[in-house]
Amino acid sequence: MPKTREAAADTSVWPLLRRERTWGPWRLGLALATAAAATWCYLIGGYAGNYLNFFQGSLALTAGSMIGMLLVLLAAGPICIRFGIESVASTKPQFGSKGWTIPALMQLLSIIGWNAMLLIFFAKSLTQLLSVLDWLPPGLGAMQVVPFTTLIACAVVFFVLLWGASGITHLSNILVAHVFVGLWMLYLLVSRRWPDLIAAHPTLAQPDPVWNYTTGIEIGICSLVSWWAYIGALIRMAPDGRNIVVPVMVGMGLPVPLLSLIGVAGVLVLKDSDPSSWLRNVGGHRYAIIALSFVAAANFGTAIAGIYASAIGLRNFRRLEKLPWLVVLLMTIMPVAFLGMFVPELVFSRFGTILALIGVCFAPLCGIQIADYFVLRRRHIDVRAIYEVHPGSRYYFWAGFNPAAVVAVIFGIALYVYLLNPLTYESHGPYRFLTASLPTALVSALIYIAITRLVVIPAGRGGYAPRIDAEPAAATIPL
Amino acid sequence: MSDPPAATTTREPLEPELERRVRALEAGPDAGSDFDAASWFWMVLLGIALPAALLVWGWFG
Repeated sequence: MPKTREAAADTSVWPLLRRERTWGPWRLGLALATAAAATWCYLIGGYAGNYLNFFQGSLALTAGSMIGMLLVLLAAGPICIRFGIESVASTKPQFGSKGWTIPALMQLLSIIGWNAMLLIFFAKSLTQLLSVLDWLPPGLGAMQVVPFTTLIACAVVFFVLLWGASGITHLSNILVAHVFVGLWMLYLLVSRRWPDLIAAHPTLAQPDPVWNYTTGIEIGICSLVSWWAYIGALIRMAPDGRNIVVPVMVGMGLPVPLLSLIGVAGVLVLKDSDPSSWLRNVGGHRYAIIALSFVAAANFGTAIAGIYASAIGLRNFRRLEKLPWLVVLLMTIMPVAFLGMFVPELVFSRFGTILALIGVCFAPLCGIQIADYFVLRRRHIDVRAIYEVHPGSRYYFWAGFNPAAVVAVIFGIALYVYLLNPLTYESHGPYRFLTASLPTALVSALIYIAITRLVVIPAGRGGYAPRIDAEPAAATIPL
Repeated sequence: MSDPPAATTTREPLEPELERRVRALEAGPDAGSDFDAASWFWMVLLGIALPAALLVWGWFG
């Protein structure tokens, strides 16, 4: 597919210029909403519904989601929107000209893991839909069809993304409808089972109501903080910081808790957060078809945005920088296709564990980025240095790594796991009053600031000191 | 390789297309703008005030 140099910019990791960033607030909001709304919303809601009733669960999840979205926006937003770069590239001033591989690995594992799961959900929903419609050939079950439909889904994602970000735009204009279908499903359940919903008691609720409420908030924060991996690749398509706040907070921050209410209601009333399982019982055959179509479409839109973000992130590796876009796309999709085709059941049974652990990495990352940009660098970023890798460059630190960021991430992860074990939900210390993500982000930020001021700046590393250029100056761009 | 003196940075040549883009961003007009006052208002409203109100409502409501 021939593309001009500028038209191909959205498939490269290089900064986008203002005239190439054509997404207005509505387009950005639609793309973000399409990316955010997927099966994971039901899972998130299902977790909250284990501890809270519908009223408290709804409000705690929504509040937590908006707080988490704010953290992500403050962390990756300013650098991505000013220079038209994606999330991983925005970490080079903090982690170093080689240390960015740490957040890159987190992004890659997170997105590949999640998208393998989403495309398998998509394939399962499609298989169920074929079954409901009696279109499934006799003798074929989910086990035989899921690998094949996963392969088809990966192929469609690949061809859509050959258009780069414009592929997301075209599809999000259509798939955003599924957000409204999701709200209609929620209305259906709430209106038909309201007495049951009000009377329902969360099955795993602890005796301490403060702990339950805090856990609902934490589920919202932790889920949305994981959007760090996606957000840069999408918001860099918009030209101005002033135009992204409402689309991000409303377009990405609100659909997740709203659609999660389906999972809260489902798990409280029917003990199952996935509407494709229960809508047939609640609404009958016709509603089942709509629900399954919705679930399939929702996962598909998210997977497309995720694969795009991951492929752009991979471009940060120099060896992949100049490879044709379709090769990078293939490299991103192939692990997803492999997992979906050959070990789909393993993905379902084990990946929740891996992803829960990956999820705890993003809170420290957000704290570090916010501290560096707003406190230490006072909004001064050298865009040229983001692309320089030689030992004399500003963001080289020591051997390309910034120890302040590495130590802060390690301490942050350890603190999170101490406050709340994401696998067992066993908690310690002030978790019940503070959540786990917020103190983790704060402590990581403080550790980062302390090490930077005590070690990095006195050593003249990291470009914090006034710069004396050996070559003609390249101005930093202040606010 | 020894590191350069503190607070001194050396510039390395970039790919021609990347160089063009970086120069355009450094010049200013091709860079995006940071958050303005309205952005901060919406962030405080949607990311702090709204969640705080929802949490109070959920606890006492």
